[in-house]
Amino acid sequence: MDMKVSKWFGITSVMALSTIMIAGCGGGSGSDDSADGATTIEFMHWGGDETYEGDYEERIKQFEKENSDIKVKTITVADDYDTKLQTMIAGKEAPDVAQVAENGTGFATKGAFIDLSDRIKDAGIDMDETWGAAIDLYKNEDEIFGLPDRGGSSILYYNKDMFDDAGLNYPATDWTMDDYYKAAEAMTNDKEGEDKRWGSTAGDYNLVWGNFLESNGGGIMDQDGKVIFDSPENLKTLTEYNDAFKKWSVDFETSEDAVNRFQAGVVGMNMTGFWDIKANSEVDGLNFGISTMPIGTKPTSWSTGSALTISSQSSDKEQEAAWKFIQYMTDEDAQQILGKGLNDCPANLKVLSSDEFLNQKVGDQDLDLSSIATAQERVVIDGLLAGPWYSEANDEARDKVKEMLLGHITPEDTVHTVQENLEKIVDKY
Amino acid sequence: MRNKNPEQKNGVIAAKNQSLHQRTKSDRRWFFFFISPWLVGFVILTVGPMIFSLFMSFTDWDMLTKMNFIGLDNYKNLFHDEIFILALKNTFKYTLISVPVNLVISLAMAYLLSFKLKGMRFFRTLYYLPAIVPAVASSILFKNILAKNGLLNKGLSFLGITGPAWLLNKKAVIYGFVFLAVWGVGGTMVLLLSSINSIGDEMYEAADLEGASRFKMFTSITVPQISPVIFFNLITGIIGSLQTFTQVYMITDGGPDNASQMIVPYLYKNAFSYYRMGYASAMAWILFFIVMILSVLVLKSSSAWVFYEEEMK
Repeated sequence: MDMKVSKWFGITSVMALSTIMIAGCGGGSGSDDSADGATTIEFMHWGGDETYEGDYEERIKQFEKENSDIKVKTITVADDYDTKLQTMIAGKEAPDVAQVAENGTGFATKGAFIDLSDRIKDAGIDMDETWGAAIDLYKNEDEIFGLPDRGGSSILYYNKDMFDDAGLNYPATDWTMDDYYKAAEAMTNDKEGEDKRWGSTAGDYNLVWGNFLESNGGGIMDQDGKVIFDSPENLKTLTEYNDAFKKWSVDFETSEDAVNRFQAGVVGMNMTGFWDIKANSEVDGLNFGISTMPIGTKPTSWSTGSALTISSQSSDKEQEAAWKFIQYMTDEDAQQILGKGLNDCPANLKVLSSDEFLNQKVGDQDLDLSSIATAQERVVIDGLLAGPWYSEANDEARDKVKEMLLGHITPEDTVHTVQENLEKIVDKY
Repeated sequence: MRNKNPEQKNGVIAAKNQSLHQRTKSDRRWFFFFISPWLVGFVILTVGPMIFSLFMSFTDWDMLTKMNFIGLDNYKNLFHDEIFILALKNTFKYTLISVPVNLVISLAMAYLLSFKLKGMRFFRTLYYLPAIVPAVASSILFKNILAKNGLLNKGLSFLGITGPAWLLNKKAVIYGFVFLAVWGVGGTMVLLLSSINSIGDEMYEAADLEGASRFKMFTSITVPQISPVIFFNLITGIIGSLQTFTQVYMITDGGPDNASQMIVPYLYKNAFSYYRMGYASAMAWILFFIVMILSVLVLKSSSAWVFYEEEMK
C-alpha cells in the first residue's frame, strides 16, 4: 500500500516538476544571436522610463541605424539597481552592457567586467583630453572597466533675486568658501513661516560636505584606500560647516516634508548635480544661475557621473558588439545628442566645452553653462568612491555627519569615530 | 447455506475491506495530485533555498565570486558586530512593546464593538480599513505623519504635548514605528470581534443571574472563551514583528544612525549592498532560532492560560 502511494506521489511530483523546469528554462533570457545574423546585446540602466527617454532612447536608435547588424535590448530599472545587477550576475544572466557609478568598483573587484584598457589604446582615445579625472572612478588596480558616459559633477545653483536683495555679487568660478559662508549668512533671516529665508540647503549630502573636505586639502579616504578622516584640515572644515549649518542652512526638521525649497524661492543656494537644471528652468518665477563649488585651498568638484561597462560573462561576439556600442555612446556625436536640451551632462570634455553645447538656451533663462565644463575639469575622486567598501563606508560616514549636524555629537567626536569605524569597515573588504 | 465457512466469511470481509482500501487509495492519489503543485513549489522555492542559505551561512559568499567555506566565522563575527547587536535590541524592544499594546488595544476595541448598537458596522469598517493598506503605502504616508511638523505632533499639540522629531530622535524613533503598528490594529481586532460574537448568550445570562458585574463577566467569560484567538494573534504578532522590514526600509532605512535598524533590514543591506551574502544568511538563521524559541515558549505557556472548550468535554 505504501509503495503504491509513494509511486503516485512520485509520478505527480515528477510531472509537476518537469512542467516547471520546461517553463523556466524555455523562456530563458540572455543575449542570443538571432537567425538573421544580427547580434543582440542587453543594456541595463537605472532611473526609470523618464531617464530612458531623456538620456538613452535617441542615441540607441541612432546607433542601431548606423549598425544594422546589432540590436540593443534595453532593461530599464526603476529601483534597487544594485540588487538586480548582483542577482543577474550571480544567476549568470548579466546584461552585456551595464551602467555603473560609485557602485562599479564593488562589482569590478569581483571580476564582473572586462578590462577595456587595450581596446581604448587601440582606438587611439586620449583619456585625459576626453574625460579628465572622471575616469579614475572606473579604474580598478591597473584595469579600466568603464567608459564615462553621463558626466556632470557637483555645481552650485543660486537664486539671483535673493542675491540681488542681499546686495551680493553673483558666485563666479573663483568664489571661495569664505564668500559662500558670507553669502549664506546675508541671505538668512530669522523670520518665521512664509517669510523665513535660508542661505543654503547644505546638509548631510556627501556631495556637499565631501567636496568641502577635499577642497580644503582633506578628504575621506586617499587613493590607496587609507582612511584620512581624522585630520586637522577635516576638523577645521567640519567645524565651520557644522556652525554654518546650524545658522544658515535648512534644518532637518523643516526639510522632513521633502519640499524643494530652492525651487520655492526661499533658499539662496543649493549644491547638487547637473540634473536640476532642466527642472529648475521650468519653475515659474525662479530666476537662477549656476556656478562651481566654493573653493577652499584648491578647486575641486564631486563626481556625479556614470559609465558603461562590458560584462565578463558575454561571449566574444557579444563583447565586440558591446564595445562598438559603448564606444559610440561615449563618442562626440552621441554625446552631443545627450547634452541636447540639457537632459543630462555629457562626460566627454570636448563636447562639454564645445560651442554647440554651451550656447544652448535653457527655457527663458540666460544661463552661463561654461561653469559646467569648469566644474567637470575639477573633478577629484575621493578614495571613498573608488573601492568595494563604498556602500558601507558611505552609510557610516553620512550617518555620523548627520548626527553631528543634528547636534548629537561634536565635530571632534565625529572625526575620531568615523576614522575608527571606517578603518574597521575597509578591513573587511 | 446460512453459515458461511470461515474462508468465505473472511472473503466477504476481505472484499469489503478491499473496496474501502481502494477508495482510500484513490482518495490518496487525488490528494497528492492536487497538492503536488504547491508541494513542488514549497520544496523548490522554500525548503530548497532554506537549506542553501544554511549552507551559505558557513561560507564567505558574496554572490559574485567563488564560495569559500569558513566554518562558524560568520556566527562568531556577528557577536562582535555592534550594529547587529543594536539591531537585535531594537527589534526586541519594538516587539516587546508593539505586540502587547496591539493586543490590548484590539481586545478593548473588539469588546466595545461587540455591543449591538446602531452604527457599529460603520466603526468596524473604519477601524479595519488601515489594515488593508499595503505596507509600502502606509510607510510612505507615515513618513509625513511622523515628521516633526507632521500630523501626529499636530494632534499631540491639541493635548498640550510637544512631540519630538520622531524620525530624527534616536530615543523616539522606535516609538514612531510602534505607532505605525498600532494604526494597523484593525486586523487583530476583527478576528477578536468575530470570536467574541460567537460566544453563546447562555453563559452571560447565567452569570447575570448570579449577579456578576460586567467586568467580572469580561474577565471570567469573554477572555477565556476567546483565549485561543488571543493566543493565535500573540504568536503571529511576535513572528511578524521580529521580521519587520518594509516599514524600516521605507521610512528611515535604519536611521538615525542605526537607532531604528532591525534584523531583517540589516541583513538585507549586508546581502545586497555590502556583498556579504554568507554573513547575511547567518543572521537569517539566528533570527529563525530566536523566532522558534519564542514561539515554543509561548506555546508551552499556553496550557496555563488558553482555554479550549473541547478539552473540557
